[in-house]
Amino acid sequence: MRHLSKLILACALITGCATAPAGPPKWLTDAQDAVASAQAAGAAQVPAAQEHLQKAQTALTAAQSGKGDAQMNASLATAEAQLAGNLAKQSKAQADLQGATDQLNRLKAQ
Amino acid sequence: MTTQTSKTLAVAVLALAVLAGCSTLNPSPDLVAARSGYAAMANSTNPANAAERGQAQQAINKANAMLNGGNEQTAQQLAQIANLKVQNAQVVGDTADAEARLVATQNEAISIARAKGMAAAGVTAAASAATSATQQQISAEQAAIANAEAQRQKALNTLKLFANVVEDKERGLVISIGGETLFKTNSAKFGPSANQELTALAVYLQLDPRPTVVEGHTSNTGTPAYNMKLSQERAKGVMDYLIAQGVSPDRITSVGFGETRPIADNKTKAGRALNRRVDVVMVKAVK
Repeated sequence: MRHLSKLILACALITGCATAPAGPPKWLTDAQDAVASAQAAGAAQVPAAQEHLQKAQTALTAAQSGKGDAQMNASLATAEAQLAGNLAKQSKAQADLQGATDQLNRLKAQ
Repeated sequence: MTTQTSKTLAVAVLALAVLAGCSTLNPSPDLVAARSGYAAMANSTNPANAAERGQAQQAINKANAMLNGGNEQTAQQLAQIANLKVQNAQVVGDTADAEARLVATQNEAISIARAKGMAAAGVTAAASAATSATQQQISAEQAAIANAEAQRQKALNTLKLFANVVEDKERGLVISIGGETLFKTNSAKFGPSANQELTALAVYLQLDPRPTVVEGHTSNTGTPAYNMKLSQERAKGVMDYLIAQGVSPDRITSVGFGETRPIADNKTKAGRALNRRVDVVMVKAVK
């Protein structure tokens, strides 16, 4: 009987500990990921992208604080960050193209 | 002023007042810019920014719906997001164009260097390396697109095991699942096999990013009011399940049509069974 009581107590403890706390909602992690991606793409170093990255960070902070419409702020952060990241990629592609064009022109002139 | 003129004036004033009351709100500058920017690329077939164009369209639709619903503040916020998504699609498309031109330019430079018999080995090697890297990136992107399409097709084939799937020219892709398959009789509660089928549906929806409408339909058994409520609850139940499975709430809505849209004869048992259904409509892109 004593063993049975211990077994029941152990089961109860395990069950009690098995419930993991809920993580942040997907719309918030999406926004965090988008801001991180924009930073990784070099948005902070590209003037056209910088402004959007800052707006994304501001909106993400607002979403994380839970003030106002958090989901709307997260959506805004995601949209701003995606634009910032892609502007950075566009800047790199254009710079690469300009370099290749200059090289081509030099070759033609030689 | 004559009596007749006064009456005419009063009627005109009344008509204007009624019209003003019925008119929708004016779109914000963001929404105007988003609509205009999207219209400029609506006919684009560039696969490089197809996903971003789809997201932009969804965002505009959402802002339009909110504006028509009279919620001006939310409409403005959604319009701001829609405008960003339109700009994003434009940037992604322009970047793909620049990358394609880069490959062409580098190839031309290599050809010229070789034709001139130049010992510009460093220049050529650098250009070759850059070209190779860009081409590898493009190949990887193409492989990813092909892989995504293969996964989408596989998920669609799984759906066809229990759903009727039709590509409708007007509506888009219609995935029709029998009500008896999903729900308990006369109830919006899911039946025992619903979990497996809705999970397969959720998997497909995550591979096909089109805006989605979940429609509930019933047979004519019961009162129209009861059927309308049941169809709404069932459609919403399916939508909520799909959202819980990871489908973005931004792209999915639900609507109940009750017994108003039968697809078969309600006089027969088989016909009524066909009419009790949930249609998941992957909305055709609007140009």
